[in-house]
Amino acid sequence: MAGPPSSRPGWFAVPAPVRELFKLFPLATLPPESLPERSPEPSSSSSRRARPRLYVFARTWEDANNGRPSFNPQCLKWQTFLRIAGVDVDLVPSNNHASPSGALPFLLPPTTTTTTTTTTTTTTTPTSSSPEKESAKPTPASKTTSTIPLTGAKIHRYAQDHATTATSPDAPPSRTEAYEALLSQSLRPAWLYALYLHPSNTPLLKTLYLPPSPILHLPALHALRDAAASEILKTTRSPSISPPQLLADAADALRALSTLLAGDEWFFGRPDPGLFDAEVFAYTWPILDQEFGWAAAAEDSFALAEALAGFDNLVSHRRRLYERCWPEAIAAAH
Amino acid sequence: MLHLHVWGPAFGLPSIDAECLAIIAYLHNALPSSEWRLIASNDPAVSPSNLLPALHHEDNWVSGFQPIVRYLSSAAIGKDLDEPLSSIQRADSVACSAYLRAHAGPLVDLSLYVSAANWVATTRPAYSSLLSFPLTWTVPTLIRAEAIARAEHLGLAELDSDFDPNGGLHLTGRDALPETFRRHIPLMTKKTVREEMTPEQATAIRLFGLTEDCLKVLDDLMLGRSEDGPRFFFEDAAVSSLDCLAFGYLALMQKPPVPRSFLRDWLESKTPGLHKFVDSMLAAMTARGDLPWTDPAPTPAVRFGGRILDSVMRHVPGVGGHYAAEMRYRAERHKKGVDQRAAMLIVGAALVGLATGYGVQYYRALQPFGASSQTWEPRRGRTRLSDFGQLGTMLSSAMGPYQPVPSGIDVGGEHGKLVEVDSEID
Repeated sequence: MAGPPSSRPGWFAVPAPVRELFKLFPLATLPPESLPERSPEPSSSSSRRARPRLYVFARTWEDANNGRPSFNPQCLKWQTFLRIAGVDVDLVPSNNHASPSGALPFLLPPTTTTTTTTTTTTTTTPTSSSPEKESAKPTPASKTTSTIPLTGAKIHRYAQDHATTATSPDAPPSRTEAYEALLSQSLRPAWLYALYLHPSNTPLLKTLYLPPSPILHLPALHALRDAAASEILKTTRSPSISPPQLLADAADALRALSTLLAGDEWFFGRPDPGLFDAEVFAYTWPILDQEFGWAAAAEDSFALAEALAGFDNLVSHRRRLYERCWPEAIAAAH
Repeated sequence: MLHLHVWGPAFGLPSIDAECLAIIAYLHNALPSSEWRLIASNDPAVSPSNLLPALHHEDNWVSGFQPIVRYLSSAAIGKDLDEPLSSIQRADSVACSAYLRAHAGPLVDLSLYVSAANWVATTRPAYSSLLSFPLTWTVPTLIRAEAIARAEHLGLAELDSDFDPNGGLHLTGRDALPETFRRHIPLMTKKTVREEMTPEQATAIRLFGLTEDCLKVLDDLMLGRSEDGPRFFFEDAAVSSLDCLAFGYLALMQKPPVPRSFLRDWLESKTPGLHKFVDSMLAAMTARGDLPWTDPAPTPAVRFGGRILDSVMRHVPGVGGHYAAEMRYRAERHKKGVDQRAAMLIVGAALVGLATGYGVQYYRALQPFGASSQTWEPRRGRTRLSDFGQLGTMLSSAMGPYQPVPSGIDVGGEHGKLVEVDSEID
């Protein structure tokens, strides 16, 4: 259709008056928006980026920066195990929506940067993390190999591969599995009940997991409680939740653990703590933590803490592991 | 006298439920038959906590295997089977029980309930023989739904061949034709290998992985390996509470005559120790004499009707879940009768029902959308002449009643009617 050039303007040419109008308003280029506070910083403090990041539930940024124990048993288990293995990680407070598997924690290995000429390098964001992180300003010339977020057993392997302190040889696998089932089958339902369903701990639950907005508050609380209740019912294989029953089961489990530990320093009589020690610690630490925010013992009819406090060797195991893994906290206290 | 309420016998075992089997084995070993009664009530609602097995002893109700064992040892009834265990063995016993519940339980659920072939051929008929007529339609499906929910985390929903992610309304190919036509069309496409496989074969790797993980650990944990009577702790074929619980789960893996017998095959070929354990436990039970079966007390008609209504309510889509949650709430707080909350709920449900009914009626009475309402008034008792003003009225009264000739087609004389006839014109 392209005919010979003529004096008539083409179909798609902007008419002269409109062109004149647009010339009156020059398009302005606005300066780029600054990134949100929480986005991973492409800053120059390269020491921070060299370390892997562990995304956990944490109360505040301050807690996370100081590496304080997370309030979620799953997160605390891996946090403790990484500390046992001597892998330094940066904690990042996060929530389940950020995780590729839908549950925290996940570990983001450090970016192995094949450094080219540029000084700035980006921290790769996980592909499935929140979109605001995706919009981090890309720095053009840095080559970063993409790192995949690790969850569950992959964190275990990562920790063993990068361990600086020798991890002790594996415990007898079948017995370990049996005792792990004991934790998930008997202790976890009691923990879930105490935190999520026990009415006197509702204020604690609010500070830990619920959004501050009062509109979202009630539906989120209901959703959390329903999920916890169905989890307990599924685990205990019973049609209704009976708190005395849960407490009795938990006490049985703790007694069994206490018998298993006996006078040893770590579980299964090993010279160094292992994953199972971290797993037990993940429950014993928050249950006995004075500053956790549990309801006062007088009004708390679900006495999980008292049941645990009765087993001296578990209490001292908890203290021993804390002193080993959080020496800076002990030093700060003195 | 102890009364033990359980699910009834099936597959040649004393009970169809693992924990019921376990507690029957426990009591049979701990007490002489004269001191307890075994009642196949098949109704969890006999106990306040709505769970079988349930032990009734002097106005105390205890439900579940572990609580009953705990109750018996605290009340010092019968022989405590765990008495000779050392403290570390007791700890191991508690841990193994938890392991059985966490891992062997879902496997039994998979084999007996989730797998559609096994459910149809074996488990459902077994429940049908336990329950009486209308309940056989409602209760087994509820039990199955619970089992499917419990085994959900294993991610093997495709064993239930009713579950078809691509299914639904869109039938394609031969399936779209009625059965009678399908016979006349030659079979053109061959089934792929994948389609020929049963769901159990298609997921065999994962299924065997799960089975191996679970049974291998149990096999490792079994320490008393005597030739004729392997047990978890004792060399001399004495029974501990862990043996009873393991018997409950393993017997349900081994004994039911299921068509897709992946668990039984594995037990026979890979872990003969566990296989022999079940047989020797069963032999020891029969050697100790008959179980003290007692006929359940006849159920009153009101209670039976209530149970039917309850199970039907749980099936109602949408409402069923809320109903189950509400009933659980009441059971947990031991509420009986109609309290304020129940009254509020009933009144609320009634109000919502009324409002919905009224709304439906109102909607159906509405004009079709966009149509303006028109009104015709029939002229009765007035003649055409009266249309012509005063003179017309005078005339009409003078001429007497006047019947206007009906317009349109006059079909059948004076009393003719217009009849609409449906007819086809070809």
